[in-house]
Amino acid sequence: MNVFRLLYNSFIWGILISILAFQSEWLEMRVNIGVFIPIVIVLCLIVGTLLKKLGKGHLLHLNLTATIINVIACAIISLVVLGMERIQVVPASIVREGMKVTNISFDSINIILLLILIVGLILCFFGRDGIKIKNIFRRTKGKALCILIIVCLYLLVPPIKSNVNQAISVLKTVDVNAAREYILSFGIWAPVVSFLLMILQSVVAPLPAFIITFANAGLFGWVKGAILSWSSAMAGAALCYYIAKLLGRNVVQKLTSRTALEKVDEFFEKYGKYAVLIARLLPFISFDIVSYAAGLTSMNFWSFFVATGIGQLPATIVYSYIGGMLTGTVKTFVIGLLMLFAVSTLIVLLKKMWNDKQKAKEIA
Amino acid sequence: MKKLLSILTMLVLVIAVSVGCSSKQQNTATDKSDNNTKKNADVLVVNKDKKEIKMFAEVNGKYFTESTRHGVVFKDGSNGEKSVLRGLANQIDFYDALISIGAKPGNNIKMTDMDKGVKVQGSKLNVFVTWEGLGKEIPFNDIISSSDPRPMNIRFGGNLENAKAKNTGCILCLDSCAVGITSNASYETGASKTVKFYGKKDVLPKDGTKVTVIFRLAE
Repeated sequence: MNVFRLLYNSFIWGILISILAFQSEWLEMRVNIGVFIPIVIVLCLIVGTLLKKLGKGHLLHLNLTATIINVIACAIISLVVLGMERIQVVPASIVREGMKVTNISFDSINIILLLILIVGLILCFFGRDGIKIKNIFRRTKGKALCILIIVCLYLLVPPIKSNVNQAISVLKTVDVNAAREYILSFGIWAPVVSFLLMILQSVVAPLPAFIITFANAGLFGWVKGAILSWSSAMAGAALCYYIAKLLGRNVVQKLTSRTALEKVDEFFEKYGKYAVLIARLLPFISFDIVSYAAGLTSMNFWSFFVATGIGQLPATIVYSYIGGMLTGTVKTFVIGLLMLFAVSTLIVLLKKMWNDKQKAKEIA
Repeated sequence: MKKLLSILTMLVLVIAVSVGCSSKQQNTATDKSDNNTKKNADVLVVNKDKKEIKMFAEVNGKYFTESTRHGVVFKDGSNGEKSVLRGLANQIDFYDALISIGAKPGNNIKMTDMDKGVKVQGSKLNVFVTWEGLGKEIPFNDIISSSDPRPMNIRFGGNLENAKAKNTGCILCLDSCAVGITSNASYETGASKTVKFYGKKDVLPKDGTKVTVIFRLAE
């Protein structure tokens, strides 16, 4: 059973069921109809999982033909129930109320819904019945298509463009209070926005991460702020790693000699996690550059991920706990401590390299 | 699949954090009462000399095509998305503002009266709407269409205790109501079960436009 296809189809069913529920004025006046969408998705996932465990996954086998028929049928039913005028308002109002985002226009939400429908249907072509996604992105055309989709989403969907621009301008000011006010302005979505901001600053390398870490500590308390900052930085690091791996590895192979790349690959395969750990501990080494660099090598993802998780933990905790008080002697002390951790790791790394070299000599 | 699981695990972690963070945020928001007072002053303007209250609101275009019984509801109330105009000031501050201009609450409708055809009492209010570029005030009656048109008769119902308990955010209801701070005495309680109210698309500006709702104490 293709999980993505199940998610996509259950999203379509969720929209349809919420439209049908909306027809009851009694229900519409009393309930946030938008919650029907995630409820239907979760229920479908549960049913799908249970059916698969019982060996009856074929009952929910949603192949490409079934998905297309589902999309068309739900669209026709929605049109019949709502009519041309109301269909431009009702689904968007359901989504808007469900997500509690009152400052987005119906037109923008309709564009986003349409994009989800179209792009989701295109992605349903991939998977077990068809082409694998990772094979598409191995080719240059696939990479160009990926970049084109992202650029089009940015340029053609006004809420995405305005929100990304606003986020970048807030981070560029390097003002913790401005970042706090910006994150807080999203109400209950503040933690999600903070998470996305951290990912944005990872991808757009020059933007500073510590602003977001300080802001999180101020808004959510140092413990929850640290958890949020740490987890969102991990997501950002993983994204940068894969961006470099999917888009850059071939370029690196063409730009360097085969021997040099083999040596670098060999180093990172054996000692990459130590190198990443040291780089994470040192506050003056760019977090994002390290993530991109690791993706360009043949370093294993899990080694990179674990080293990143451990390496960024001390700085995240310190930044969250001390926050804006990190100045003067306190700052010097903290940097000294982090450098001590880094040097200790370097010593462990050098010892391991020495031992490996001795073993190789003995075998020879 | 494992990599996807790792990302999903982190997302679950964030959601778990956000559930906890939301309560912390509420506490933080409660502590900042000075800021809230300042911000509320921006969305609710009281003029005791003119016996007038101006409240800022936003048009909710959903109710151009769908019917509702709510004229103005505070955006953060449970009915915040169920009204023709989404009020930016809360119902409790609005109640206090009405008291400060000398309005008298009716407090004549109980929750058990909601299907008994009772009409709301209290000080009469003349309600108008305006927005940037309109250049005039238009009666609230003119922005609402009804399947059973009657002249609007907005009364200060009061209902402070119900308003606090239910936290619906109801500020102006289109029929008589036991929860709304003000409601329309032209229609008795329960009238909205048969009478349909809509926002007039050809009169109101587009969805999301900021408008000013003006409540004046009638002489």
